[in-house]
Amino acid sequence: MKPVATKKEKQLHAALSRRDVLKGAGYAAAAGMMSGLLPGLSFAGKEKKPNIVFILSDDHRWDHFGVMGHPWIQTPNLDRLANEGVMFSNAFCTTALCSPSRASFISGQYAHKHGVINNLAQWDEQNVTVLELLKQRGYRTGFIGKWHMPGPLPELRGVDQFISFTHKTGQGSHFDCPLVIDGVETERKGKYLAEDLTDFALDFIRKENDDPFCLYLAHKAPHYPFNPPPELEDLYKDKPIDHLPKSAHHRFAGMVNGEVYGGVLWNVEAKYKKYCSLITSVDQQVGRVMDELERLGVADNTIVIYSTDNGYLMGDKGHFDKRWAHERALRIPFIVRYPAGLKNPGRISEEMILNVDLAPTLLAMAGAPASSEMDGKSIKPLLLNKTVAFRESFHYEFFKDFPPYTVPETDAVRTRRHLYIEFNNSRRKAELYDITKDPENLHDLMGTPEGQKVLPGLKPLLDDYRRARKNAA
Amino acid sequence: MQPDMSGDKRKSLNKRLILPAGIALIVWLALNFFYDQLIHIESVKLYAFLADMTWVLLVISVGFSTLIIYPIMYFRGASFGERLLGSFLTPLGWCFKEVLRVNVSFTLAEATFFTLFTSVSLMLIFGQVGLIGLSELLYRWVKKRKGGIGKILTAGPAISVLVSLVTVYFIALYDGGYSFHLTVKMLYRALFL
Repeated sequence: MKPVATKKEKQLHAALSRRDVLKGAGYAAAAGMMSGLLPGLSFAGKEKKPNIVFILSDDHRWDHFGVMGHPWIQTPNLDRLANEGVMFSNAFCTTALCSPSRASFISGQYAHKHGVINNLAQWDEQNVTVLELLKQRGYRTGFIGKWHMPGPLPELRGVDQFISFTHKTGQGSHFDCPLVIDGVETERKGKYLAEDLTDFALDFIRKENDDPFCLYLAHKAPHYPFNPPPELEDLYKDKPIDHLPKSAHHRFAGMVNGEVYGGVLWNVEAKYKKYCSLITSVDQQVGRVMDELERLGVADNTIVIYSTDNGYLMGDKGHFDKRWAHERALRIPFIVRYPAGLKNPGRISEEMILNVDLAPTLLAMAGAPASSEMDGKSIKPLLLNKTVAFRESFHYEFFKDFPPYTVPETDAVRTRRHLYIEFNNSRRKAELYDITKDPENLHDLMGTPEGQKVLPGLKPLLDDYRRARKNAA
Repeated sequence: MQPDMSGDKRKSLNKRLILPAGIALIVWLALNFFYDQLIHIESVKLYAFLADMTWVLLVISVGFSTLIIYPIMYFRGASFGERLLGSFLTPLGWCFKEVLRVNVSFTLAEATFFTLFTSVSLMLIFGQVGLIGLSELLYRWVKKRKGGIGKILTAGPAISVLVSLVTVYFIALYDGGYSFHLTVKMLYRALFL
């Protein structure tokens, strides 16, 4: 089946200029030549493995990039990543909630397997992280940033440097957030968190070492509360919000019904603009990392990946926040830049990839064997632009969470064309959407002739996923 | 001298309780209905304007109607119990609506726990306690100006205003409400997960 190209994706195609494509082709040609001449720089070469920098932000909507056609948001560094790398326009999280998704990224497993099923469930120290496996392959490893799983910080095996925070149960704060630096709680007065974490990340990258490094840099930004650094506070003050759904124009929309507990968006418009300012602040920090890699002369042999834990509803279907199994909450940005190893950079891949694919991908790139415990699969063939049948559908799961958010337990199946959602232990009825015609999920097909036509294919598929989860348990 | 602030000449139950409290409840219900229909308006600007206005009226009707109906009930001779009932009718209606809303996805026990212990509901309940104390003081002040006898400020209303302020502070203002939110969340985890 042909992959779906949404309007946004078409805009992205248009945003990638001819110059970018030629530039990308140049990189590809250079990489191709180098892979022949210098095996050390090829994918998972034996002599010199690639460095890895994975940057994970929090709640960054997949369409909030300049390169994705957003009317005014400024993300020049992330746009550059996309222009020089591969942007995945159909990337998704398997649970649209911070802690479960973060645990999925680092473990390559679904929430039902790693056990962090909601923001109240603790990380199991027995879980194996991709950092641990990379350490076994000779990598110098660092985790810097938001861990955000309840309880004390874990003893992360195989991590050489671990800098995180437990402030506000791991949620942290954008300013003055105390950090736990290799086990020592340290005050960080006057610091802006994203910048502070990037400072540590740069120090980690700069450390002279013959080993390749893997840096896992996890930001809190642009997560609520939307407090950008002062210089960006009013960056978008006068910008229109015509591109947002109707609900977002009602300034108190984040304070009605269930949203009053989840959104807490006093004056939606003002908060939304600050959310965008926070995204720009993340972009600036990404730029600092890129600049440093270039200054050190390692940018070409460093795989830089940017993603986020889940999508964000900004008035979509009248909701604010995430959790729901709707398209805007499921979709995440996923960009890979690796000049020495990518084929045809500057392109978009429309294959469906997931947060659980990160860990197996990093292992494959490092030349390590795949772990049978991981649920995801390596996207390396896609990065090499190979024509492969990658994924036809995936299972979305959402477990019981604290009631204010009133999102029921959910199981959903997302195919290339449809999204079918069932709510467990709830009186809410199942929902079905045709993503190609209705990317905003406004027209439920349940009970319609069209819905009746496709439902017999989707319901058994969802049941299969449920059965597989039960068997795994 | 004992304060003679017990209320005015007693009118019928209908006039002293059912009418003022009932009107407040009906206004709130009507505003809810109106608000829910607004989403069908095509014009974004018109929708946003009406929704903003209605939201403000909804907040006033559910959170502050006590300031109006409590003195009315008092002037019509309602007893303290009746005044309490009348003042809490609309806020309790809101709580009931919350139980129904949460119960769609959670058990009745969880929905009730949520409604009783989360910040917005508690602020509403304790807010009423303060507003009742304030209304009592207002009524006495008006009464005294009209020649009534006795003290305006006594322990009861003063304590209720104080309790209300302190509670609202700890629920919503201290640490931005985060500590309280976290406490309730942990309690929920212990009880239901």
